[in-house]
Amino acid sequence: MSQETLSIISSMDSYSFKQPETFTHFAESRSWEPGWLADYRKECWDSFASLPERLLKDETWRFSPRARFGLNKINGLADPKESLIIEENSSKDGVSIDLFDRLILDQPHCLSLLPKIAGPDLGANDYSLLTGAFAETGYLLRANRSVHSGQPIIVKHIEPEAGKIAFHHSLIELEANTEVTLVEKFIANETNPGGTISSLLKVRLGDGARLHRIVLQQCSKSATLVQLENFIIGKDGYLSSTNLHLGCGQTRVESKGVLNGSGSHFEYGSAHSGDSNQLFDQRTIQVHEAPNCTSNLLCKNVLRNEAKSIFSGLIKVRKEAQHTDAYQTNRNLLLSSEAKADSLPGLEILANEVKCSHGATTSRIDPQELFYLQSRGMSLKDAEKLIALGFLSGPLNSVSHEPTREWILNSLADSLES
Amino acid sequence: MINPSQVAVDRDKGNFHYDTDYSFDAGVGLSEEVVRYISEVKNEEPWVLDFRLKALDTFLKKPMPTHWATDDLKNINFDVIRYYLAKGQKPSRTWEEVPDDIKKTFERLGIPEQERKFLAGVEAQFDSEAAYSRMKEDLEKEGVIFVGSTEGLKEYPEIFRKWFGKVIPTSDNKFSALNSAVFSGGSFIYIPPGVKLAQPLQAYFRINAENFGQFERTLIIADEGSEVMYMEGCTAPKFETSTLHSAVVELVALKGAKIQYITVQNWSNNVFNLVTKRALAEEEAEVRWIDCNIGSRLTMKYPGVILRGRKARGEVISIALANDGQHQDTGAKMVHAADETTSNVVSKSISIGKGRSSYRGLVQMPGHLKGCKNNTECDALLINNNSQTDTYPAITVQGDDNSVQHEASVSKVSAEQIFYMQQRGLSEAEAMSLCVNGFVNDLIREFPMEYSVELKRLIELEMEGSVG
Repeated sequence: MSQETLSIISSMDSYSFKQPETFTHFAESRSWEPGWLADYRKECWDSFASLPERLLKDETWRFSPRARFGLNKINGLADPKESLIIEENSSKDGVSIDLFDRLILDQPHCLSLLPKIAGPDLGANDYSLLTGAFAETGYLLRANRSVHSGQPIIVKHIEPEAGKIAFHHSLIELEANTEVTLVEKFIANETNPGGTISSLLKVRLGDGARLHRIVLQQCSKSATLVQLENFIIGKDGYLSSTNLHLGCGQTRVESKGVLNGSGSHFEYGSAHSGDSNQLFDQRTIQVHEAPNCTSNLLCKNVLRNEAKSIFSGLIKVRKEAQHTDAYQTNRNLLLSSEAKADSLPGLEILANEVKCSHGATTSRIDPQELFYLQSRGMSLKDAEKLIALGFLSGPLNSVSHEPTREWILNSLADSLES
Repeated sequence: MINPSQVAVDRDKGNFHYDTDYSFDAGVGLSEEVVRYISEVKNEEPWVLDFRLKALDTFLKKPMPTHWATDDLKNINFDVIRYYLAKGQKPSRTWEEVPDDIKKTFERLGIPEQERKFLAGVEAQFDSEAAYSRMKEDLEKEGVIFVGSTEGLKEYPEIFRKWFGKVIPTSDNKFSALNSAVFSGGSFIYIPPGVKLAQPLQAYFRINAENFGQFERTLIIADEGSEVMYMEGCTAPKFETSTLHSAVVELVALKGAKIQYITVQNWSNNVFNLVTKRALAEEEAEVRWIDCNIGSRLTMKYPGVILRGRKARGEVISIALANDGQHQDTGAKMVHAADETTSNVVSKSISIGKGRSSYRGLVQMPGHLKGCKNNTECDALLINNNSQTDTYPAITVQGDDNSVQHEASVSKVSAEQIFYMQQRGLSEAEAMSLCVNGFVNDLIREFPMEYSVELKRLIELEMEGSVG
């Protein structure tokens, strides 16, 4: 057998990102890119290749069946053109959104911030580095004038076919006093479900900028999603991220909110509705670096059958961040005897003039509530659904754009119906 | 505004040291010879020596748990520690027989005085061995056993061997393995069925020698329907070099038994206090850990209860005070392993000056259980700009018939509160002390009277000079 056929066979066995050839092949195919990007890709891949073997006891993966996020089921990259779509007419006066791929050709300087902002660094650094090295698509959202447009901008992430992975590397840069609403949809692959999306988002808000971001994830039940995001919020800035996860076999979300200008606010809400053996692994950190900032996090899970959720959140208040007001709440509703919820809420407080608290509860539905609804003529199933809907709508109610709020609540109601 | 200043704190009750001649000394550093020496001096059965040697092996193999714990652990130098120091092998039964230098120490700490006042039995450990052990005679007649670890394993193997090392296996963690290899002293207690002790038993642990490691081993078995309250106090003089205290405490509460275990830890600021404490609660049994940590350089202590029988109940009540150069890393573990078990954790911590206090918790409820409940509350109070507080709970719940609630908050004494009291004529320091006492007051009430008075006084002393 010739050397060539051997290498083909081995690459068919498993597509290995650790193989230097995988990267050099990829880099050659993108030799037209600017030098700084090629250097960044190389740097990311080198760091990935030198990552230590997974530790048996890694606090950032505590309670997580990490094998479910393994890279060994992947046999190739997804077609970038089909994996990220910006809905038409999304760009408006003062606000522009464009694809990573197009910008590299026309205005590569717009992307120069990408290498300067790190990933969230909450455990899935392998995915974060691979996205840096291999991403061929992503979006860049910018606002440079004092605009306030209620109409949301819509981006669609599309689940690749089984065995493929899509890397999305995106950037949001809002200049002072701009306000934007962004909706990100994760859409299932109907024909050949089971792909993986690794989405790395970096956000920087200027003074007084406001970003409302809404995520609706409806991938197939065999898909894998690794969603990594780092939000940096400037003075008097406001960022809300509202997430509804309904699909995916396994989801790993890492969100970092850094309040580095005084008077800023970070609002994070997430709702997960899980069935069969879905896994929702969520890690968050609220970093208070500047004084007089506030942050609020609410994560709610409803779990049926053998679904499992992990919530690990940390509020970190640096010494300088006096007059911090930070909250973190995790609530889990378990509807079957196999459903399982792990909760790791954490606080690390170094300033003294603060108000910080967290709460975590896990329970079943109060039988009295069910009885009340049944006594009004509702079936047990409907009563359960209604309570689950009310429970999960909590984090979604913070969406200020009304049509979007209605749309996301309807998506939740529909998914509970089916 | 409150203007904090860093004034050295007085916590000097235990800070004195008398020179003592030791008859038994295992030398410096840890090796198989040291372990064999300890076993030989104690004239132990071969199975105990085997147990120790296996534990030494486990200790050497296990890594330091610094992937989650503080890096300060790396500053422990196991090679300079003295693992066994004793004056005699058998504790005196009357106060008069206690050697003079040791007697002086305990008299100054008020031990015999307390015994006369309100205790059912006392044991006073001086470095590796108990110097004094006495229990009221009527209790002895009822079959209560209150002895040291060596005597317990030798004289009553039929009672203690069954549970020894079963609640906390040697390999539980690096420090439980170290303790299993070189343990000496501690209390082995057996309360026969139905016997309810009206007065508490007390042990007092004293480290006297420099560079010394104290590794006491306690095992309390409360047989069906019995009740016992056990209290321990600890002090050491302030040395320049660090000292290690690493105890293993196992409690077994059989059907319907009640155990209360009270600790007032007031080690000096050079002591690494790394303690493993766990209880097993059978059907309808109740175990309460009441824990107060004021001293030490680093305390890592997470008392746990394994709720193994139906309707068992576990509780941890804990107060921690971290001052300059101290890290109080405390918490609780509640492992639910039977239906209708309940647990409650209330933890309050105060960080003063450059002190750091952490809460680490663990609650586990598997899905096949019904009707389990847990409540956890942790509150932290920060006094100065340089203090730190952390909370790291881990909660795992499965199934649709269990419920858990956890709440934590961090706050500081507000300038308004202080201003209000000053305006009523209190000094700033008095106002601060009042606020802190108010913060922990409902927990202090859980301690027996004699201790709660002492605690309030200790907290007042700690607070002295921290404001104003």
